[in-house]
Amino acid sequence: MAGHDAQMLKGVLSMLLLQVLRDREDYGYSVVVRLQDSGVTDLGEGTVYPALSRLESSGLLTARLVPSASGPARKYYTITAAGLAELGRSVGAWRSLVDAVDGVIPERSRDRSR
Amino acid sequence: MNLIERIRLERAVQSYSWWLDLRGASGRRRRGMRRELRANLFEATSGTSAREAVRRLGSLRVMAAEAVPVERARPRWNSGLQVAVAALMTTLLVEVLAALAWLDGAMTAAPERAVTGPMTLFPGSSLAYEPEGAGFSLLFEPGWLCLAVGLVAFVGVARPWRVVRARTRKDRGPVPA
Repeated sequence: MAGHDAQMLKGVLSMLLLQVLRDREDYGYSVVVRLQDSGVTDLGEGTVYPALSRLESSGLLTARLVPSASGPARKYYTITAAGLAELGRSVGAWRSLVDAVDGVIPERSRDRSR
Repeated sequence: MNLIERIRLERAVQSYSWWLDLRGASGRRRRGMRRELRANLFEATSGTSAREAVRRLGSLRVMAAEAVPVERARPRWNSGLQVAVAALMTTLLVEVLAALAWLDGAMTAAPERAVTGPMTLFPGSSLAYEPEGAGFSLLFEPGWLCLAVGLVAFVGVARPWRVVRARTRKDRGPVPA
């Protein structure tokens, strides 16, 4: 699979993290693994961990420490009501952008790029 | 996980904390972020080596900048203290080396009486060499330069005036939109 555009990924990083954490609460490393398993292989730990901190600071996520049998306590993140609202807004904006871009790019060149 | 790997992880965690401090993150926040990074790195090393886990973080400076994007105007006491101690020790070491060179010169000259004098470039320092039978006595006072260098380094890095600025801002209240 071709690598994803880093700048584009950064633009949708918050949306991806909120979406992943909407499904279930999770901790940093596990979020990275889940994103990579979903095909977003270009997002590394160095990008995801600070983004989680920022989302927590802005009130879109809350966190709690959970003791781990295999090592230090893990910090589990949960999406907040504000996070859910932001996720809904950003998914809507993303879909609208994709539709607009698809309207500009001819279907044939889209097929060729696959 | 062996000791070397633990040291490697801890070095990355402390380096991250250092950069966070420079970004203005509070001590409490840094502690939390250190604990989180440590746990994540610990988890990552279950599937790979500590070296690889740290490498995958990328630049810790960039990571800290992204975690604390807006620099808060707070003093950086820890970083200031660390840099001040390093600057003070370095200046002191240079003074000791200069004193040894001065002593070497004094011994080569083999004076019959006590010799005293300051070290060039180190104001306030003084050295006294006195031959005593087969041996000698040496009095070394490093002066105030090393303390001044340490203090300047501390003030330059810690930026203590931010306490005053933060208080002034607090007194003024929120800025109207």
